[in-house]
This record gives sequence, structure tokens and C-alpha cells, in this order.
Amino acid sequence: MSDVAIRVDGLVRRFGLKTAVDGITFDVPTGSICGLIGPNGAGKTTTIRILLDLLRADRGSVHVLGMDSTRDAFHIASRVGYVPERHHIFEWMSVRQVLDFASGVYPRWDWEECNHVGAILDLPSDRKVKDLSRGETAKLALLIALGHKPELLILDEPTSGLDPLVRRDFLAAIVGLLKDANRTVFFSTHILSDVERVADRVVVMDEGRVVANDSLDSLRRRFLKVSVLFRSPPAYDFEIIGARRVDKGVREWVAVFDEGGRHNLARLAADPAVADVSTQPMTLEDAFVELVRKERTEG
Amino acid sequence: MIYKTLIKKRLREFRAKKEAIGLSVLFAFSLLGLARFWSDEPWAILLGIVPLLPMGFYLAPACAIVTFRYDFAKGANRFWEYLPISRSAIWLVNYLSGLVVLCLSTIALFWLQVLLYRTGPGSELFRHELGPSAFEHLAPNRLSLTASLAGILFWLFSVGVFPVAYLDKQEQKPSGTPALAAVCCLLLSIVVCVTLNLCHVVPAGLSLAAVLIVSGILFSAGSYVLFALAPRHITPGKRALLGLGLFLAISGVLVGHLYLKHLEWRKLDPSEPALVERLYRLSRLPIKDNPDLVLANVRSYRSGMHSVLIDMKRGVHHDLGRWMTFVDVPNNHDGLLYFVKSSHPDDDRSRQSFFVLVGTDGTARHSFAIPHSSRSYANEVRYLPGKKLLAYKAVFPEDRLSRSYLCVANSNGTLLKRFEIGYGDCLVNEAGQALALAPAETANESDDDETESTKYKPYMLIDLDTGSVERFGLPGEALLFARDLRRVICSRQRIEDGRRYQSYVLVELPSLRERQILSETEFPPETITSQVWEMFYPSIATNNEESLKEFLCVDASFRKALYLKKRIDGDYFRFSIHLIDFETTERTTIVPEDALPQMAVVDTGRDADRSVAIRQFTADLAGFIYQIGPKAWLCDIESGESTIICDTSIMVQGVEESEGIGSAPGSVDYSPSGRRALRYDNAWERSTLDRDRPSRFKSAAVDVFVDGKPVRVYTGKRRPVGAEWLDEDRILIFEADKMCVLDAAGGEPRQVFPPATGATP
Repeated sequence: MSDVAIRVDGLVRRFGLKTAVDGITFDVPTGSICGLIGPNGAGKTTTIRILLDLLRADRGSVHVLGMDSTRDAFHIASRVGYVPERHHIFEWMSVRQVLDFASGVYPRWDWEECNHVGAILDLPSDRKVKDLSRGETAKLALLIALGHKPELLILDEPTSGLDPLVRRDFLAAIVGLLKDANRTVFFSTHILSDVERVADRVVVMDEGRVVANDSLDSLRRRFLKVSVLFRSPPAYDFEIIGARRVDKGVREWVAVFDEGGRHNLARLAADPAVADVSTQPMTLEDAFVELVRKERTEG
Repeated sequence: MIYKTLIKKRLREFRAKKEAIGLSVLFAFSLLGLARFWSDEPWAILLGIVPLLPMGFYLAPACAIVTFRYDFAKGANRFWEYLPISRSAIWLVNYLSGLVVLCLSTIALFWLQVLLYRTGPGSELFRHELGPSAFEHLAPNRLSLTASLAGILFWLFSVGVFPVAYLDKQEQKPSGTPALAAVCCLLLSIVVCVTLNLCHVVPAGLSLAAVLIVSGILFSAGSYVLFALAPRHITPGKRALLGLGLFLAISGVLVGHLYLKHLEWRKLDPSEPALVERLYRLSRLPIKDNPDLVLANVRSYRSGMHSVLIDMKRGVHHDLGRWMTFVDVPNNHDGLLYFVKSSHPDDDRSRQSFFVLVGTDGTARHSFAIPHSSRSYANEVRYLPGKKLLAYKAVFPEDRLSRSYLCVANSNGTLLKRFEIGYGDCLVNEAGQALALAPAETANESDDDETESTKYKPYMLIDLDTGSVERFGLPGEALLFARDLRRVICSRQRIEDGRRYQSYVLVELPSLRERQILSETEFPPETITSQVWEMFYPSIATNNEESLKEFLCVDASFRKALYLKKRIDGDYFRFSIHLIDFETTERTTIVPEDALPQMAVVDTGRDADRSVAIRQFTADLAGFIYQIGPKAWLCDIESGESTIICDTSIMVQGVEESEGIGSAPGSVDYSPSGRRALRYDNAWERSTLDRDRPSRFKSAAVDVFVDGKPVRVYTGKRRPVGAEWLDEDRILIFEADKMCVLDAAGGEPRQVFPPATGATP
């Protein structure tokens, strides 16, 4: 088995004059849980659809599980579980019938796995799809995607619009996959807390480009978040040297430094106007915002 | 495995979508066909058939759309696209399941129609025809009906599948698909109908179905290409181009296929049921080389009228061509048959007629065209001795309604002479003279209401060689011209005090010398009513023998005539038959009043008045046939003795509830010599609702009269029968779709058309 579950190289896709994906390149290692994050219109869904050959790229190459996504789309589909953003499962079928249908479609369908995940998701098996709630439909889509023990699970905004409880179940099922080290999860979302909860890698996209492709920890370490407490309210034009961004309060300012800006902290602490300098934990959201801002500024 | 899953899913759909209920509805609807059991009225049959046809038409595309739509409706196509299922499998399962649903629906809807299907004269709708009915042509039996129905529905299904595959896209709007499918089906059905109409053929259902099945397979393949083989990611524009291109290409193939098949269908198929409409016996024409040759106009439901030369002896026939009018040319010595052919009698698009010469062996053919213009049309074309063409041509100028011209052209169609003539027919004699009504001199004259005019129409005699025209007026309404155009019988009308007096004169042409042959005293004056007025001033252009036949029978040479005199004697009509010599106008009594029955005036309606009638001269002019009620008598002119030749009052044995042929001349035929008679009779079962209406054919019989007694020579149980004399010893039997020759003395009939062996040269 290849070490890389997904390899995207120089992918370009245009819709008319708009470039949705602009020459992106990234890898997703096998066995990782990789989140694809980015603002709306960043090109996440387009990228995922190209991965599954639901959309054809204008340029570049995509390899999924070591196979070319355009040439081997059929084989990829049988080894990949996919949960789309919107679900179009046959509405007239019951949950049991859908699973029965899926078991015939996927050659490696595992009823044991299906029942196990189904127990976690707690789906009413006799109810018709058209009678399911949105969350239940999403769970069913996940169950179909997991039932054949896919080597790669691709999810496109899977928890979008779901309530926190369903999201929890959903993520629990995904985490359950981690038992098998060889499985890879690649999911796009803009709920960054979900990514933080389960992902170990993140690909950040903005305006069709990949801004970052790193592990979650590395991504967080790229920036330093510092709380600066002044003895008295400073002048508004007080400058914190080396800071990328400063959120100015009355006596407490929050500054963000690049990873290399740590050496400026000592000088800042020595300033007579500063009472205290303390580092704060960098969340993924903070890192994402900084990355996007940085990209847009430098871009 | 995947197919099993897909089929299992379809079976679940079948239940989920309540198609079974739909089938039950169709089944219940099909029971309307039982309507024919409780009533044999045509509307009851229509009630059973008419609603089924549009339902059947809708059924096929509906099945196509519905089956595919189950899989793609409400965005389900997005579900399919990431499942590991090949699109070929999706297409195949949907296509096959659609076909299965179509089959089940068809069976549910049409099973009773097929079971009850029957053709031929058993159907009341077509009982008036001796020939094959339209149904019999379109579907001669249940098997062909089923196969035709299946083929046509398959074609519609395939056409319906095509737009579904065409619109299979993520952006597909299922609501638009049925409309597009319906438009495609309708459009192509119109294309098929127009193509067949332009080719003037009506193929049998099975033949058409064979073409449609080929087209259906192509449409199915096209839908497969669009759905499964075409790249999934092509742009909508390219997809539209591909779909439209495929649709047009397959439609083109369909039209081309129909065109090629029409070349075959336009020929008369030996196995095809065809109705013999008219016979020309060459032994009675100037061509007398072979008395076994018969020229027939045969009507085929598939390709219309054909002129066929039938060799009775060899049992073969030559198809001379379609839509040809046979021209009997006097003194024809070149052994050719002459026809005028237009592309179709109802079709003036071709703007030309063709003059066709055909050898009696059916092979030697020459033809040349007679062009029409956009504002003129050759109504009729004839052939003149001396190889000239004569055309009656109507021109439609803008200022007047129409003008008619008599055009003389050479055999290349080049106009030699043109004469303006009045509206109507034209007579030509062997000397190259043509007689026609003279054209109206003023616009007012032509616009006169004929019923109000008492002026006799002017005629013109045209010498076609020299071009000289002689205009003349007749002393009465011309009723019958001699073949040589040298004599004419005119009726002369005179009105006095509201009563009409009439007399008949023989007029010599062109001298206009009159000889009175029947004076006013012969006919009791009648009070004029508007109806009578119209009847006695008809727009007769030339020969109108029928109006004379009631009382005057003129021999072909125009030298003598038989006159049936009717005289009122008290409360009775008295009849007598006289021979009038046209040369001397002498009248000789042949059958005196005593020998003929008298009839009470109060009992004599119009039909009874005709119950005494002169039928015809014998061929040798030595005798004649007259009829009194159901009995026909042969009278010898010299001796005045009469013997019964035919008695139709005797019920034909084995034929119950006869149509009543007593006074129906159509069921009696006299031999060429005029001395023998036969009759045919058909029996029908009575309608259960209306006893006056025959409903279903029962049996038929043909009798030849020997010494006035009928001798049965033919019995038909299958189809209605018609019969006429071929010559003195042989009889032609027409039994719906075949013609047989039978010896007048009896024996086995021999089928001559279509050939019993099915072989044509």
C-alpha cells in the first residue's frame, strides 16, 4: 500500500472566467485524518469532486490510493467512502433497503462493520429515507460510506447544518475508524472545532490555492499568541515590535507573532509600560485566520 | 451481483411506485373492448378501440421516462455518480425493466383487443366492401397484430428513452423530460406519416413495425451512447450537439429506410390482398391477340391503384404501374396498351402527367411527360390515332373562375394546337374530330344559374388536324352522341301553363337535320316542380346514357333503338316494346302490351316504375333482354318470341336472408353474347339491434341460368362473392382478395389473381 492516500499535483479547474482551483498541490498520507478547511468559495468541494472524478480538472493530476482518478474512477469508487454535502439517497427506500442495496453495490461490504457503526449512529432501520431528519440522513450517508470498510473516507462538509449531538455521533464514528491504522479520512469543513477534535493534518485553502498543508500541531506552532498587560492604558499608537496583528483593549492587548518573532518578547517584557507578557494557546481558528490573512496580504 | 442488486431494487420500485395498481387500471380499461359483445354498433367498437390507441401511444414513452426517472428524480442521479456502478449497468437495467413494464402494460391494455380481433367482412364497419378491409391489410391475423403493436410500441419506447439519456445531467430537470420525450415521439410519428404519405403507401403493420424496430434499436443504441459511452464531463453545449446530431442522424436513417422500403411496398405483392376494381377484357378491345389477357385495375391498400395485366391461361400477372388510367384507343394496331399516369390522383404537386405505352407482354414501356403549370392542370389526357395527345386543360386566371382548353400535342408533349372549350368532358371520334361544349362567350353567360336557364348549350366540333372549329346549337339537350359523332339524341323540353312537355329527336351532325323519334304524345305532361325542373335540366355535357336507359336502348352503331312505351290506360300503366329504325324512324312493335304485365298507377312508385326495363341488345343485335320485376327475358327481334333467361325471384338455395337481389342489376350479369345470365348473392346475419341492417357475412352463391333455371356453380362460405362473365363459357369470380376463373358448366375455380403460386414474371 502506498504511503500517500491522496496526491494532488498542480490541479487547475476553471468555471468560465472564474478559477475555482488554481494549481494546488498537496499530499494526504495514508492513515491520517486530514481536514480540508477554507472560507466559502475556497475550492474545497471542487477539489473533492475532482478527487472522485465527479468533475474533470482542466490541468494537473490526481492520484487516489495510488490510482489515477480519471482513469480508475470506477475502482476508486469501490475503495473509497464518500459522504457528500447534500444527500440524494433514494427517498422511497427504507434505511434497511438502502443498506441492502449498498451491500450489493460495494464488493467489500461488511455487515459487521455496518452494524457496528450503525449501533453508534443509532439509525431507525425501518423508516423511509424521505422521513429521516437531516441529521439522520447524514448518518445514513456516513453508514453507507463506512459499511464497505473503505481505505479512504472522503467527506464534504459532513457536519454542516447538524446539531451538536449529531455532530458528536458523527465524529465518534469517524474516530472509530482510527482503530484501523491504514484508513485515511479526508474531510472538508468550515467548522474548525471539528477538525481540531479529530484531524491530525490540515490542508488550508483560500481562493483556489493551498495556503498550508501541515499537521495540526505544526500549524498551530506557526504563530505565537501573546497577551500584553500594561500598567496604565497605553497610547493608541504604542507599537509592539514584530507583531503581525494586535487586538487593542484598554490595558490588555493581544498580539500575534510569527513563529520567528519569539525573540521580540523579551524586549517587550522589558518595556516599563508593560506590566506582564504571557503566551496564550493558539487555536486552529486563530492559525487559520492568520494564514488566510497572511496569504491575502502577501498574495 | 451488481445486476442482481439493480434488478432487486427495480422490483422494490415496482411495488413502491404502485405500478401494479397502474397495470390494474389498464387491465380494467381494456375491458371496454367487451362493449362489442353487448352491441355491434360501430360506436361501441370505437368506444373500445379509440381510447386505447392514444393510451397505447402514450404508454411507450411513459414507460421509458418513468423507469429512468425513478433513478434520476429528485437529484438521485448524484447518488448514482459516486457509487461503483458502471453506467452501462444502470442503463441496461433501466432499459430492460422499462421494456418489461411496457410489455406488462401492453398485455394489460390490449389483451382483450387481440383476443377478440377479427378481420375481413365479418366486421360490420367494412361489410359493404367485397375486398379486403383496412384492418385485414394492416394486421391480417392476431399474430401480426401483436407483432405490429409490439414493434410500434417498442419504437415509441426507444424514442422516449433517447431524451431521457440526453437530459441525464446533474442539472437535469425531470419535469421537462416527459415533455421532450412526448415531443420527440410526436415529431417522429409525424415524420413517419408524412414520409409514407409522400410515398403514397400504407404498409402493413408488420412491415412498418420491422422498419420501426430497426429505428428503435438505433435510438436505443443512441441513448446508450449518450448515457454510458459519451464522456461524462463534456460541456452542455457539446452534449446538446452530440444528442441533436444523433437524433437527426437516426431520424435520417429512419426516413431513408422508409424510402427504400417504399420502393418495395409500392409494388404489388403477389401475396397481398388486393381488390379487383375494374376489368378490361382485351378480347373486347381492338387488341385481340390473346383472349386470355385481362387488364385490371387492382386496388391495394398498401400502395393504391395498380394496373395489372393478367394472363388467365398462364396464371401470371404483370404490374404495369400505379395510378394509371387506361385509354381505350380506337383502331389500335400497334399492340400497345395506352395509359395516362399521374403520380397520384389527389396529388398535384408533381405538376405533370405521364403518357405511358405498355406492350401486352407487360414489358415494352415508353413514357413522356405532360407538364402542368402552377395555374393550369391537365384534367384528362387521351391518345389519338396518329400518335397525338389530347389533353383537357383547365387554366385558372385571376379575373375569372377558370377556362378550359383542349390541347393537342405531339408524342413529345409539344403543344400543337389549343382550343378554348366549355367546362365538361370531350368526345373524340376516329376521324380526328372532337366535340365539346362551346365556351361561354360572356362572363354573365357562364355565371347563369343553369336551373333557371332554358337555353340549350352550344357545342363545338373541332377538326383536330386542320384546326377548324364549327360552333352549333342543338335543338334540345344532348343526351347521347354516336361514337362517330355524326348523330345525337336530344331531349326537347317545352313548358306551357306550368306543365312540361318533352320529345326526343335524332339530330344529324353537322347538318343538324332533325328526325323526331319520340313525340310529345308519348309522354304525359308533368306539372313542374322545382325538383323536377332541376332534374330535367341537368348539366349534361355529352353522353348521358343513364337518363335514356329507362325507356330507350340504343345500339352501338346508332342505327336502331328499343323503346319501352308506357301508356296510361284507366287506372293502369300498360307497357309495350318497340323497335325504332333511325334511318326511317319507323316503329315496329316487338312485344305487345298483352305480353307484358300492367301495373296499377297507384301502386307504381319510382322503383315499381323501373320494374319493367330494357336491359341490352344481344351482341348480334338479333335480340335483346328486358326485365319484368325479378325475371329477365330474352326476346328475338325477328320472331318476337320471348324466353326467360334469368329469374332472380327464386331464392338461392343455401343463402338465407338474401339481400334482395330481385331488381338489383348489379347482382346479375349477362354474357358477352347477351344470351346467358348469371347471378350472385351474399347473405348476411342480421344485426341484433337493428333488424334492417345486415351485420356479418354468412354465405355466398353464384348461379348460372340454364333455360331460366338456376344452376349452382359456386358457393362461398368465407367471403362475399362477386361474379361476371369472362366470355361465353367462363366466369370470373371475385372473392374479396382473389379472382378466379370458373367454367360456366361448373367445376373447380382456378385462381388467377393473385397467382395461386405467388409467382410473377
